[in-house]
Formats: sequence, structure tokens, C-alpha cells
Amino acid sequence: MNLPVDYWALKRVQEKTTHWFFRNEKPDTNTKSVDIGYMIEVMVNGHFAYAATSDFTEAGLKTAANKAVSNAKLYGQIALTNFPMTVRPVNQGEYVSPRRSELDSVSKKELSDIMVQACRELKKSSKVIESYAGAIFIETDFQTVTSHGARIHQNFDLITTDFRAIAQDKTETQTRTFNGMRGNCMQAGAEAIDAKSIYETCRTISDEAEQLLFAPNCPTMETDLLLAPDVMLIQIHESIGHPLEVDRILGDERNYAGWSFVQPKDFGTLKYGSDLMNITFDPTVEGEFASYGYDESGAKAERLYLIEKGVLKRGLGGLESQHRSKLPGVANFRSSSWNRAPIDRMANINLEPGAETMEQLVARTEKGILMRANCSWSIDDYRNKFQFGNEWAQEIKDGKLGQIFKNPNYRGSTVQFWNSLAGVSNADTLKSYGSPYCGKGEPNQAIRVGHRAPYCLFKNIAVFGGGA
Amino acid sequence: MSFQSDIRSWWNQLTIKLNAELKTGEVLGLSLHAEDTEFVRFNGCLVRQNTVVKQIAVDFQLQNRQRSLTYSLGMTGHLDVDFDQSLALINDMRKDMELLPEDPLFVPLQNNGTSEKSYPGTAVPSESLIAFLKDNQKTMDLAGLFCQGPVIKANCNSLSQNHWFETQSFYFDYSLFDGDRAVKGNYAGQVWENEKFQAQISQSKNFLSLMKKEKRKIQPGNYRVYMAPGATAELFSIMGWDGFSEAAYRKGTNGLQKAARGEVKLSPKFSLIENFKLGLTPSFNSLGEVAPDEIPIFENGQFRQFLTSTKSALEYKTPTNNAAIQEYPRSPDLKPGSLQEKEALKALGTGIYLSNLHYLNWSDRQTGRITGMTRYACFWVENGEIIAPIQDMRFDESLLNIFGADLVDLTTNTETFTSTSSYEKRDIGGCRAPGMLLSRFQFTL
Repeated sequence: MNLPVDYWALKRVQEKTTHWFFRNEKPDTNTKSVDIGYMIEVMVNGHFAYAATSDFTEAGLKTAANKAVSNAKLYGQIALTNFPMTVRPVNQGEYVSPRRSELDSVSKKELSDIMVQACRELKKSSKVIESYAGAIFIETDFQTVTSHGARIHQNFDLITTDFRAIAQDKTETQTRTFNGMRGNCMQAGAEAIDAKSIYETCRTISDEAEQLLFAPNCPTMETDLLLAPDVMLIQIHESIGHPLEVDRILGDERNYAGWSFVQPKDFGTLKYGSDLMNITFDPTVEGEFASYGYDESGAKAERLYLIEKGVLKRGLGGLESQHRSKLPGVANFRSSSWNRAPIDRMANINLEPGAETMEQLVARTEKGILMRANCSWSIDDYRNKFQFGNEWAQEIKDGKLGQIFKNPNYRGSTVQFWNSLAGVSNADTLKSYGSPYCGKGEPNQAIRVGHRAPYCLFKNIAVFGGGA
Repeated sequence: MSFQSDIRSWWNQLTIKLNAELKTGEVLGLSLHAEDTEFVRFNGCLVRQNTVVKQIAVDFQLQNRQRSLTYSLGMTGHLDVDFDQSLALINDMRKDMELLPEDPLFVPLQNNGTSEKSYPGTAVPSESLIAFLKDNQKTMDLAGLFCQGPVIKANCNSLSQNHWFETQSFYFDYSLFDGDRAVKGNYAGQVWENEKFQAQISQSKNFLSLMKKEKRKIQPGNYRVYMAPGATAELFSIMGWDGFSEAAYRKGTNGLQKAARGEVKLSPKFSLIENFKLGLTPSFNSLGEVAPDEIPIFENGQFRQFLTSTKSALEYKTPTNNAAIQEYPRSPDLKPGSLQEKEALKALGTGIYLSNLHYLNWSDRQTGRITGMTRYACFWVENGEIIAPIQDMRFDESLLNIFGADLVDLTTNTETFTSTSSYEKRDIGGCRAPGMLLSRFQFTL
């Protein structure tokens, strides 16, 4: 392209998404979308402008490019920042997500048969009134070329599975899922669809849904709280990931998701949590949902500590945010697709393991609650006061697991909560989950994130159950 | 030629050509989303990012022999290219459909008639926007999003059904800050009027000036509360997740189920309808079924019906009201009451004024309990006078109480909120809500 600009980039995204879901053994959501589009990014006098189009003909791309150029000049008059070219490093490279077999190597017939049988397993308990089983397969191909010689090609195969049983007895209803709503997310090929393991999981979900029907509500009290990795997923996401986004700290997000309690001066000094708290930004974990080779500025992705021994070290800021804030950051300048401009996003935000087994954490708890599978989430616009609801809880009494509780919730304030972290289980207990739908940005963008964590024990937390 | 007329011509030709390709027994439904949008994002009254997005996408619903598949495809807007791609997709669908079992809850496409609605507007001149930002960048801390352009929704099928909806609109959605104190504003419409916009900004500035006093820390507990229309409207964000749904009611996951079953009595002042007369969104759904202009959900506290899709109607043997397949509200409207807005503080007496709520979610669906946060201009009020802004508080309260025993009154005036959602594509639709006076509301943290 020959454009009157200081820099241009042409990004092409092709994404094929298949939803294959069955409800009560009948076809429910059976969809496929094929989306191809281009984003043209130009820089004029340090200001970037973007034009996106699904019209990939030559005429369509020219029209978009001309619009990007005129808008870069127009809005450059009142730009927040004039960036140097260093925010677009000249890298060339490729990333291909791990897979042993292609996603389409499992036929839709085979997939349908597995999900129908999964529905049957979910209904093993006679109390289950609805079974729901399915998977989302996503194939994404992302290519970027720039006027200054960067060439990046990234190809992702992604799977999310979802299994759910709704059990009912009279007017009581309980829902049990496989690690929360669409929490099971990974980069993998069709090998991830293992029928035997799916059926076993579905039988467990069915049993536990019935057990919850007859369980008492989680009691209201202050107690020790042991959180499973499928709850840590949301705890990390909401109370670490979002508040550390540097564009958020700089105020870009204030009209939508909010600001942050974290201030620029806090980096290097804030005792975010106890010494057991070690948090990494790690887009290099094989198979974790938000792994990648490069962000969309072209920066190479690498594993870096955000919080080490409880002390805040680094924010989630890409090169633009690093230039604006002068804070250390990471390669996280990402967009949801071809039709949105990149902003600071989480990738894989992980809690590093400790030394104890999960059983040892239970054994040293005199009085507490174990909670599994997040189902409700809410936090304030500065990311302080949170409340998370979960599907399943068990009492811990004198070092042993006991009574099951339904509707377990807990609430707290971010820094106080993380400073009460008193135990972290070992690497054998690590589980990777994620979300396909992390929302942020104006215009809005839902992006994929991954979170890997062990079991974590917190002291003196407010817990409570359902009821009027 | 405008974007709208270009798309209209392309759509008409594409649908005729595709229908001609169908085989015996096949029925094809097509749903269109097209937009040509400009987004400008601000921080500190300066432009952080600006993006234009031109996108066209079509959902294809192919039916044959008790089976149905919905696939979608991004489009270029060029007939030949799109026709070839579409045909290839339909061939894929034919193959995949063979692999699906018959669906006993199959909802056949029908001819639900034709309709056409157009809400024309004029493009907002960029100069107005730039002049406003230049004039205020040194004195005003404003963050937000300006969005404008045409959006088209259309639905047709091979049985001659044909619906068309187009709108050209804009919104300027913003927050005005004074340190960590903020107020929310939104100026939206079809035709930009600079005087109205400036008046809206002035009003926001005045509201912000009320927040200069030191913030008051409120202890957890029960308080008398006035929710301004913006806070009331935020309740719809969580109610839309199963709270309006017939299927969720039948499964026991609808948060308002106890009221529908008559186990909890709601206030006679509570009337909630799905109201397409607001003109914010088309009344046809993805099947092209046209909903009634008004669907009463609760009337004077009495349950009438939930939003019921034709699929749920078939499954639960109940009448459909042509709801969206996911049974979420598209245009909820909470009816006003008898409280004059100017009397709201006086009627509140001593308690908390809430302008906005934030990040709501269910804490126990069985009992309709929701949690969330206060946000923006929220004040401690004594004897009808604003005393001080409050520190953010978390609440945990049942919708059954809010719309039931604790509902004192609703305001006579209502506000209409157009959707500013833009995940994947620009949303249309919105809601209308009055203010609400509650005798009790539980804050927890």
C-alpha cells in the first residue's frame, strides 16, 4: 500500500467458530460462523487511527485505508498522546497453538453422539430435569504485515466445553456444571474431546446436582476459606487482572468498566498480598487458553512476574501504555477481532504453586469452608469490594471435609483478602481454566483469557449462603 | 448512494438469488446485520483511539426434514463474491444437517409477513465534536465514547417473509470526573443539536459540583433508598439474564419465579412490560416472528406472562409471544408511579440517593437475590437535603423485595436509555425506567 502516512499495518483475521450443543439429548445450538475481516492501522504524526472492513475486495480495502488516513489527520489534532515508532517493534515470527489432531478430525456425527450420551449421563440422577452438553471449536488465523517490515502469523485452535445438570425437587432447583459456566477453555486439537472422561465427569455433575438439592444453605460466618482452582479463576481475573491493566490505571476505561485502586506509585511498593502470592503474566504456557507468540503491537510475548512474594512489580500494559505511564509492562496489546482496535488485555494470568498438597491444606484447617465452581461475580469499578458465588461447598471441621452446602458465596476487599492468603497447594494441583468472554473497552470487546491456579487457603473471610 | 440504499439493493438481489438455489423440501431464513460506524474514544477530553467499522454479516437458517441449522457468514457487500461464498456455506450446511438427529422441538420457519421501519438521521459533523473537545480539554476531565452511523437489521425467508429495520443514530456516552468523583451522562439521538448537547454537559457539571464535599462512609445495614432512573434501568441488566424467561421459569432458574408462582406478592405499583412502541428495536426476532407491540410481564403486581419463544411454547405447551429465542428482553419498560421527581429527595427523607448501579449479578436466583455496587453520584441525604457523597457500597437484596414490600413509589417521569453495547457488533434497543423510592435496601460491604 502506498499511503501518505508515517506507518501502516494491515491485519487480517479469519475465524471459524462452531457451537455444537445438545439439551436433553436433543439438538440445541448447532451453529457455525465464518468471519473474515481486515483492520488497517495508520499513524500520522504520532496518532494511530483504525479502519475495519469485512469488504476484502481491493476497492473495499482502499476505501478503508483512505478513511483511516483522513481520520488520523482529523483526530490527531486532539490526540491524547503522540506516540513514537518504538511502540511498534519490527518483529517477524509465527505462533501455532498446540494440537495433536485438527479440530475437524472429530466429525459432527461423532461429536453429536458424544454429546447425546453426555446428556444421558448427566441425567443419571432422576432429580435432573435438564441436561446440557456441548463444545465450542474455534479456529483463528491472524496475520499482520506492516510498512516497516513486521510480519506476524498466529494460528489458534481453541476448545471450550460445557456440561450442565439442573436438578429439581419440589420448588428447590440447583445447577451444577463442569468447573463453572464455560470455564473449561484450552488451546488444543480434537484430542481434547475424550468421550470416556466426559461421561465420567457428567456422572459426577449429576450426582452432585442431586446432593445440592438436599444440602443446607452455606452458613453466614467469618471463617477460613479454601478455594478450588475453578473459583480462583474468577478471583484472579477480577481482583488482580483487571486492576493491573495499565490503560485502566491511566483512565481510558473510566466510562465503562471503571478505574483502578492501583496507582502508578504502587508499582514496586504495594504489598498486594501475603508472601505466598506469586502472580505471573504467562502467554507461554502450552495449551493454556490465552497463550500467544506476539501481541498486536508486534511485541514478543514472554513470562513475567506481576506480583512476587506479595509485592506488586509490574502492570498489564502494552508498549503504548508503557510509553504513557513509564511503568514496566508486558506484551498484552490485543483486540477481540478484526473490527476492534487493540487495548491492554489480560492473557494468561496465573498464580504460581506452593509446597503443600490440597489434603494438607484441609488437614491444617480447624474450621473452614471449601468452595468449588464459580457461578456469580461482581466487583466495584475500582476493583476493591467483590462478591463471588459458587456452586458447591463443603464444611472443613478439625481438618476433615464434611457437610455439603448449597449457594455458597463470599465477599471481601481485594488487598485485605490477598493479604489473608495462608496456603497455596503444589504444582500437582494446578488447573488451567479461562473465559471466552472477558468484557472491556469502548467499543466493547470480549476477549479470551486463561487462568491457572492451585488450591488457595484464605483466613477469616465472610461467607454466606442463599435465602431471603 | 447511501450505505443504507447500497445494502438494500445488495440484500434484495442476494436473497432472490439464494432462494432460487434451494432444493425440494428446503426452507431458508436469512438475518442481516449491517453497520457503518464511527467510534471515537476519549480520555481527559482528548482522543485516545478512533476507529471506523464497516461490517455486514448474515445468519443462514436452513431447514429440512425436522432439522434446522444456523450458520453465519461475514459479507463483502459485493453480490458476486457474497453469492459464491453463501452457496458454498449452504452446501456445507446440507452436509452437516445429515449428521444431526431429528429435532422433536423443531420450529418450522413460516411467512410472518412483511414490515419496514426506518429511523433516518443525519451524520454528526466531526467539526462539532472537535470544537467541543478543544474548548474543554483544559478544564474538563471527560472519558467516554462517541458513536455514530447507520445500523440495519433485516430478516427474510424463502416463504416470502420480509422485514427491514434501519436507523441512523449517534450517542455520546460519557463520565465527567473531579478526581475520583464522577457523574454519568449520555446524549443520544438521530439529529445532533449542539444546544441540547451543551445543556446536557452543563447539567452534568452542576451535578458533579454537588460531589465536592468529603465522602461519607456508610456502615453496612438497611437504608431507605431512592434509585434514580439510571439505577433502576441497571436492574434490567441482570433481570435480562433469565429473569424474563419462560424456559428459565420452567427450569426453576428464573429469579422472579416466586412472584410468578404467587408465593411472594409484588407491589400493585409494579408494572413491567416489553414495549416495542418505544421504537428502539425491531419487533421481529431471528425467525422473523413479530412480537406484539406490548407484552405485559407484571401488571399492578400481578404476574401475566414471561417472554416465551416459539421453541419454549412447543416444549412447555404454552402460547408463544414471539420472544427472542434466548428469551431476553429487547425493550423493557417499567411503568411510572405517582412520585414527582422534584419531590423525590423530600420523600426519601433520610437515606441514600443512588444515581447508578454497577456490575450486578445473582447471589441467589431461588429467592431473586442480586448483588452489585453503587457507582457515580450517590449521596447521603438527611431530611430531604443532600449532605455528602458516599463511599462506594456493595448491596445484596432481593428483586422480590425491591418490586414488592419495599417499593414505596415510582416517579411520574421516566427516562429512555438507548443501548451503548457494542460487543462484536453495534447493538440497538434499550429500555425505559422511572425513579424508585424504596423503604429498605440492604448494603453489605
